[in-house]
Amino acid sequence: MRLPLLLSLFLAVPAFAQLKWDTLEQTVKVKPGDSEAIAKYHFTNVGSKTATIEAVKTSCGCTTAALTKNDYAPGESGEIVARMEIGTRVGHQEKSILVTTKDNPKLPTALRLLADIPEAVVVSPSFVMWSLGEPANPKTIDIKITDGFPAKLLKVDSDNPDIKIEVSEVRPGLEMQVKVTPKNTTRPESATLLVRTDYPTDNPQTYYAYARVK
Amino acid sequence: MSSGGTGEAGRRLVAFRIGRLVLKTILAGLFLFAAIAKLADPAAFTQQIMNYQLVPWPVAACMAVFLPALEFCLGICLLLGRLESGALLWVTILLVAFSGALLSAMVRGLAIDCGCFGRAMETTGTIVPLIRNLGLLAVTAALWFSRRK
Amino acid sequence: MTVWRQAGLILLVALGLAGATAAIHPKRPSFLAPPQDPNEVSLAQTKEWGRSVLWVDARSETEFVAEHIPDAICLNFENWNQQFPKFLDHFNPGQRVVVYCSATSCQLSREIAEKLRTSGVADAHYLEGGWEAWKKGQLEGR
Repeated sequence: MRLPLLLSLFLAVPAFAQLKWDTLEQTVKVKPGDSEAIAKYHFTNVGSKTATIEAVKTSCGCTTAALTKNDYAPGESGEIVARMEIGTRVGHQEKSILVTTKDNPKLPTALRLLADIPEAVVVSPSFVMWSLGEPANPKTIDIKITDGFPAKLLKVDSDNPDIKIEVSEVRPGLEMQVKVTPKNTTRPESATLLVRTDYPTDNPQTYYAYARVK
Repeated sequence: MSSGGTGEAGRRLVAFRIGRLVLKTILAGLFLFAAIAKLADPAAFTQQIMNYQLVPWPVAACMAVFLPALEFCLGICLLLGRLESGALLWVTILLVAFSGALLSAMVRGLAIDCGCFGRAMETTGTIVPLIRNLGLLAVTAALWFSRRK
Repeated sequence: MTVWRQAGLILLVALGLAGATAAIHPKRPSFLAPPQDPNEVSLAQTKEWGRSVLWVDARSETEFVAEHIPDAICLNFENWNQQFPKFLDHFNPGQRVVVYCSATSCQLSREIAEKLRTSGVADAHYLEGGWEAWKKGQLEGR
C-alpha cells in the first residue's frame, strides 16, 4: 500500500532544534514624548532537542535586546525584549537584531523593529540664516506641539539682543510663530532661541532654534 | 467491469480513493494558501526572492507575480480534479525548483526568510521548508502513480 | 489531453493571471529596478560635487576622533543639541550636505540626513557605502 509508505516519509525526520518565531518584524507605535520603543519577539522551540541561543546582536548602540536565559527545551517558549532608545531621533527607524543559535551558527535569524517617531515639539525650520549683506528681512519660525503631547509652550527668548524676536500665539500654548529679525547683516551674528515648555513638570524641557548671520 | 465490488477488496479501494482525495485536497490547500499569501504583497515577495541572491531584480519582480498565479491555478486544478496530470507535473517542477533554491541558500549560509508563504507565516531557517518540500514531493509522487489513466 | 497539453494550458492561464496582477495590483513591484532613495548618493557623485560638499559624520565621537573625512563635522543623536550649533557655524545657506556612517548596513546616516532635512537643511544626502566606501575610494586613488 502506498499510503503507509508516504506517512513513514513524513515521520522519518532527523532530530533538530528549531525556533519558531511568532513574528520576525514588528512596527512599534510611538507617541510623541516616549523615551523608548519596545517590542517583544516571542518564540517556541518546535524541534526535538534543546535550542541554545548563543548571541543576540543589535544593529545600533541605541537598541538593546534582552533574553532571560539561553537554553530552551523542546516545546519551551521564550521571548526577546528589544528596546530602542529614542532620544532626539525622529522619523522612520529600522533596527535589526540578529539571533544566533548554537545549532545553526551560520544562519542567524534577523528580527526587525520598525518605528515612526513623531516629533513632540516641531520647530520648523530649526534655524534661519542671513548672508552678510543680505537685506535684514524678518524670517519666520513655526513652533507647534504635536497632538497628544501634554506640553504647553510658555515663551521664547533670544540670547542675543542684536537678533530680535517677535512672538505671536497662533493657538495659546500649542502653536506659536516667531518672527526673527537681525538688527543688521553687516557682521556675523549668532543667536540661540530658547523655547520654554512646562513639561515634564519636575524638569521642564527647553527646545532650541537658531539664528545666524554669516 | 464492476469497479468496486463488495467485501474486502471494495472497502480497500474506497479507502484508497478517499485517502487519495484527502492528499490531493491538502496539497491543493497548501498551494492556494501559498498563492494568496504571496499575492497580498508582490513587492515584498520580490524582496524575499532577491534575498536568495540568485536572480536580478527584473527577473525577481516577474517571478513575484507569476509564481503565485501559477500556484493558484495549480491549487484550483487539484481541488476540482481537473487537468490533474498537467497540474502534478507543474507541482513537481515547482517543488524541485524551490528545494534547489533553499539548498543553495543553505550552502551559501544566507540568513533569510523562506518566503514560502509570503508574510503570512514567517519561519527561520531553511531546514524545515526543505523537509516540508521533500514530504510534498513524496505526496505528489504518490498522487501521480495512482492516477486513473 | 496529454500531460504536456494540460501543463501548457495551465501555463497560459497562469500567465494571464500574472499579467492582470502586474497591471492592477496596488502593491505591484516596480519591474525595471528596485526603488531607489533619491537622498542616497554614491561616492562618485560626491567627487563631482567636490569641495562644495559639507561632510557630516554620524558615527560616535570615538570613531570620529580616530579618523574622519577631512573637514567633516560630527553630528549624532546622542549629542545633537550640543553639536548642531557647531554644524550651523560651518553650514552656509543652500550648501550641499552629505552624511556618512560606518557602512551600507548602518542606517544612522539616512536618519541624520532626514533629521537635517526636517530641521531646514533642504539639500541633505547620505553616502552609499559610508566610511567603508570612502576608505576604499582613498585606497584606489579615486
